[in-house]
Amino acid sequence: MTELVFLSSKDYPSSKSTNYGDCILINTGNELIIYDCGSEKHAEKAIDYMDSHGFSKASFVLSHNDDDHFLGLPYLLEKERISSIYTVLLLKHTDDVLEAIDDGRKSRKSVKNEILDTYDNISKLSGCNLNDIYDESNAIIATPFSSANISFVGPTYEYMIDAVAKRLDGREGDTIDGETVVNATSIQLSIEFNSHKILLCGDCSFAAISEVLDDHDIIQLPHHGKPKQAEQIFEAKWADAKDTVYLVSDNTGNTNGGSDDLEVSGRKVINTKDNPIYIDSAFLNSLVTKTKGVLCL
Amino acid sequence: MRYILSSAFQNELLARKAFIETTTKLWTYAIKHDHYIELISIPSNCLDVLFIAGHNTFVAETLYKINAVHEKTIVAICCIKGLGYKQLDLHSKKLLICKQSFRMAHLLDGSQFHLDFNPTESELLFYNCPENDIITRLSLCFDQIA
Repeated sequence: MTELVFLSSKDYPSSKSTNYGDCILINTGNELIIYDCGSEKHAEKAIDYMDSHGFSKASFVLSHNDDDHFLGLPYLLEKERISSIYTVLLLKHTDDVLEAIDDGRKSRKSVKNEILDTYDNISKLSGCNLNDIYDESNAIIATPFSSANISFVGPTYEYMIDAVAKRLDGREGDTIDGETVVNATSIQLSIEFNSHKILLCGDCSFAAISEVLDDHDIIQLPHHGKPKQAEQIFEAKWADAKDTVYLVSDNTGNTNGGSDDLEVSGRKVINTKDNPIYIDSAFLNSLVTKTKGVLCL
Repeated sequence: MRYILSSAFQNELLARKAFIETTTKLWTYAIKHDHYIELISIPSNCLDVLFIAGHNTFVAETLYKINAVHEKTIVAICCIKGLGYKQLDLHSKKLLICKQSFRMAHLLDGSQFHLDFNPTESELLFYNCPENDIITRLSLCFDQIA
């Protein structure tokens, strides 16, 4: 692993009011993986990075359907810089969703149409080299990348299908665990870097990542640092406060998600609102908790 | 609740007042003494805990005046090295101390945690621990030595 870069839109036009979304570049040394790309500006920066680091193509992981994670992808595709895309291909799982809805009024066809409608951005990718993160037995594929240090870790298939069924059913609203279903089921990526483990999680719910938090010491706070999810993560990781680092990819700070009201005191929190975040060996060394003396005379 | 802070750390007074407010939900007022600052909660009798923060020698001197300590729980934020607590007659009092490494309490760089003072590991844990009951939270974050 060479470095991860959380792009910042701090210097983009109207960056406090225009939502440029997320874009995280994962440079393994011999391949580049782009996790989300929420705007054409981010896509341009990603291409600059690829050009300066010798990558003609990159793999792309789309955490979920929302624009602020997706809108840079068409530009990257237009420039022919994407080799393959990994996301959740729900049409493959229509039967399981239908079974979970368990409502005789829904047909296979109507569920398919609702999936195409609800996941409209992913639908637009038809014809691209799309890959599902679940295998034939509905287990999460460990890693499709050449580096074994990068793997998908969630959401579980059961969580995904139950949440989507709830969304398409509609009788119980379109949120789950405090997030929209689309957000809550964001794809989670785990990256081993030196002795650290980094968790990328899009806009997911706390419930979707609660089982994997203990395995990670560097955690992207979901939904651009939304306090509702972040506070549950802080609570779950309180005993590791000294050695846990939280990363926030945010720019407007006050969308449905956003970090404006995030309480950072007592935690190591780094936010792209301040600057891009470059995670390399030097950065990881700087994370070691420094001491300022002892209480002895 | 009282919080006795060595004058050596008086430049951290406001940050520590804010820390106490966040962790105990108690407001405090300060009384300045010759060698220390005493923060007293409002109301004064709502939490039966005395915190003493400073170098080991300062905390030891304060503890030797144990008869003047009426609180049942004492939390020492200092190095255990040289504290000499075993010679104290603590009666039925409970003495907690911050977590140590080789009998020393290290101060963490508060700026890494968006804090305006340098906390010990136990104070950082106390800040983050979700347990509502303060006495239980203290027992989770500090070590009981007497």
